[in-house]
Amino acid sequence: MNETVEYNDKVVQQFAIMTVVWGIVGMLVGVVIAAQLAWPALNFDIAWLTFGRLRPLHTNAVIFAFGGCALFATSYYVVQRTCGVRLFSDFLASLTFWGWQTVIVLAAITLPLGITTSKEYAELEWPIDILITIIWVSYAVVFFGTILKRKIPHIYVANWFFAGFILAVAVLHVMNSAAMPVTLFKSYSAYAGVQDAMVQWWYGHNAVGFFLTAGFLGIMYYFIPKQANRPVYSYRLSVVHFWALVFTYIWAGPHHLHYTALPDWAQSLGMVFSLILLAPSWGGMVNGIMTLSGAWEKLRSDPILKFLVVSVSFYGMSTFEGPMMSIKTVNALSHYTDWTIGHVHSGALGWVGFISIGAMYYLIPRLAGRELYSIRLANVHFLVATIGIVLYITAMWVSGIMQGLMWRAVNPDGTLTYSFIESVQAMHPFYIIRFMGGLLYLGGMLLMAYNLARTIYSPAPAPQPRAQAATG
Amino acid sequence: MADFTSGFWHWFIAIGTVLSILALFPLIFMNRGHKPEGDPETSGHVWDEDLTEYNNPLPSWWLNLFIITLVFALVYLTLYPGLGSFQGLLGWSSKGQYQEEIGFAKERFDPIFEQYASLSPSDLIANADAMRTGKRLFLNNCAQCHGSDAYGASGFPNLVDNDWQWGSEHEQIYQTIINGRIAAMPPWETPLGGPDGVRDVTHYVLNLSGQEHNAEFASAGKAKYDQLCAACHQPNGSGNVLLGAPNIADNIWLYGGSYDDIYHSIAIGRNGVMPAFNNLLGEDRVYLLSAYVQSLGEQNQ
Repeated sequence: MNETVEYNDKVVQQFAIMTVVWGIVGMLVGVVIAAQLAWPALNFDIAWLTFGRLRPLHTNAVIFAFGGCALFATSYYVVQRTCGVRLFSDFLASLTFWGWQTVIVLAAITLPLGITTSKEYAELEWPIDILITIIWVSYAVVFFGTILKRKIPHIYVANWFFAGFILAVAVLHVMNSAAMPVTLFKSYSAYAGVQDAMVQWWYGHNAVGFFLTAGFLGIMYYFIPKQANRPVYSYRLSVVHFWALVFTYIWAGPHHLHYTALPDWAQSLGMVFSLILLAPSWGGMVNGIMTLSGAWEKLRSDPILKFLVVSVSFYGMSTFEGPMMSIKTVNALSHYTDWTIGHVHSGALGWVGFISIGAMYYLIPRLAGRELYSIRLANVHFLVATIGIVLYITAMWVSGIMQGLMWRAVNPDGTLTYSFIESVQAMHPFYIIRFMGGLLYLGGMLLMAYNLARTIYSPAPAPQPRAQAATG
Repeated sequence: MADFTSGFWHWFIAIGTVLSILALFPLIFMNRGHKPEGDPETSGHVWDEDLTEYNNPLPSWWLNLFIITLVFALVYLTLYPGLGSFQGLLGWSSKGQYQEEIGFAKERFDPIFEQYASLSPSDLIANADAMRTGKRLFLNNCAQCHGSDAYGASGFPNLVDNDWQWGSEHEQIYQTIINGRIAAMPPWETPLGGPDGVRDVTHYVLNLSGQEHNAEFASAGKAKYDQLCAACHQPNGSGNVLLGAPNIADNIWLYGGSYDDIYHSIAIGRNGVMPAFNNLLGEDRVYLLSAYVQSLGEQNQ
């Protein structure tokens, strides 16, 4: 780079701040519905506040608002710096910001009103789906446009993952949301019966695979080597696990439909490819953790690196758990229980949450041109959030396995040992523990918001004093 | 073959799957790399001032893990259905597994209930083991609506109050469970000549059940009651189990006994449904369950 490039950091900053805001909103709704599960009276008999309406609000807010803003912010930041050029179009980048916020606000209005397609993680009705498509195409134009005009011949590995994520999500969203509108607020899926279920879970699992995995691996591949100031462990490992990951993930959806009307052959393929997915997933974990070798001592003092590395550890754990749960005999026990919820949250709170938090602690002070207000507070955040995750997922493991065992327990006369309500009663203490875990995690987010706000609003750093000429 | 519209799709899936798995082998072997002498080399690329990459070989434990899963996939798809319409060498199917488990359960558990079905209802009620099993059947199948204590809820009859809409005999309860019941209280607002007519009859029903009422409205309601309601509910309100017309004089209510509740029942009607359990439980289990349900009411005599 001969001339200095002026990056478009405004849009990055906007998305970064909304990442924190939507993170708090989405997790707050999560804590509310966790409390409702433990104490059902907390819906106050108000339709808009019932679990069935707030739950999709929680998932959409956390995945698409919090996770989405984190992906926009980091991908725009990373693609400019690793290509050595400004974003392809400031206008389109700004459109993606305001458009995406509009989608989130529309979701926050329509979901509590009960306006939903009822497709999990794709609940938004068709007019919002069209808006998402327009924004996503703009996003793709900005991202790939920037790649095309890059000054550095090689495309950095983080950008491969961002690119794979953007392309796959476009295809998934359009295919799964295909529907026949009836009114402005109601449409019917283009697919019926088991085909609809299969398309839904092909989408649903790849929302995890591409939105929540490939995209966030892009974040990992930039921020871990940057923060650790170490080279990425293995270029060839990143090549192999990238292609194996994007190729294999797309097959895994049918494991959500074990022992259903889905034909046996499709169930088997879903299971087999989910198992094959173990190594490609762990490739990312190996590359992330091994990048730190030689810089382990930094983990003691650097809260950003702590978030990033623990995030990758949770990634490794949940991508081991996932293939195990896709095995039919394991799934027969785990399916429909809280174990699934625990699995999702070790990925969501541990992997996606922590990598985003680490990236925001890196980005926001840098963009503001300030030092982080308090390293100590960030360390407290790390501790509180980690305890929160551990409480959450262990409670759900115990509760889920207990549920599965209670449901299948049979008396010598062939009747079920436990009625359903007995399993609900047995889950109650674990629902309270889960609520407390969620509360801690939310508390950590509030600490982060405070810390980052103090950072942004701190006085601008004094200009560096020039070396003084030696005086008598 | 029923899963596919033509034989083409069988080959499409089978060949596509096998090629996909096989293609992963060259991907990992061609990029495996070798342990360099001395320090690891970098790829030579630099991004954003200081981002670089080592070019370490693939960790061998990771490579082995990958190969194990690929080999497992090929073995699994040889043994189990997966490659299109190929059923797998073990001949397993989820339908087959289901039928096998059902067959096993029938063989093991049906004799227990055949044995119980040969006893009289009163013998069953006296048999503590039978009643324990009956209670489990109740908790598994009935408690969802009637409550685990069988006290019911609005619209779902209380089964321990010994007030029976469809009869208290074992034979009658058996009929209620095995074939279900559909109760039909028609809406009477129009035949009664509008809200005033409903109001009058409501007060008369309050009177029949010994509750506070307006005597003037009640006496106006009596003529309409005798004309339109007594055919099912009887002139004294004692009901008719053959029609499932409840006793409305005993102040035990399925849909509530307040003025508003009774008004609603008369004006708009009620349509209670007890589903049939024949397909779910079969005759022998329903026979035992009926004895258990009968025993619930008898405790309260």
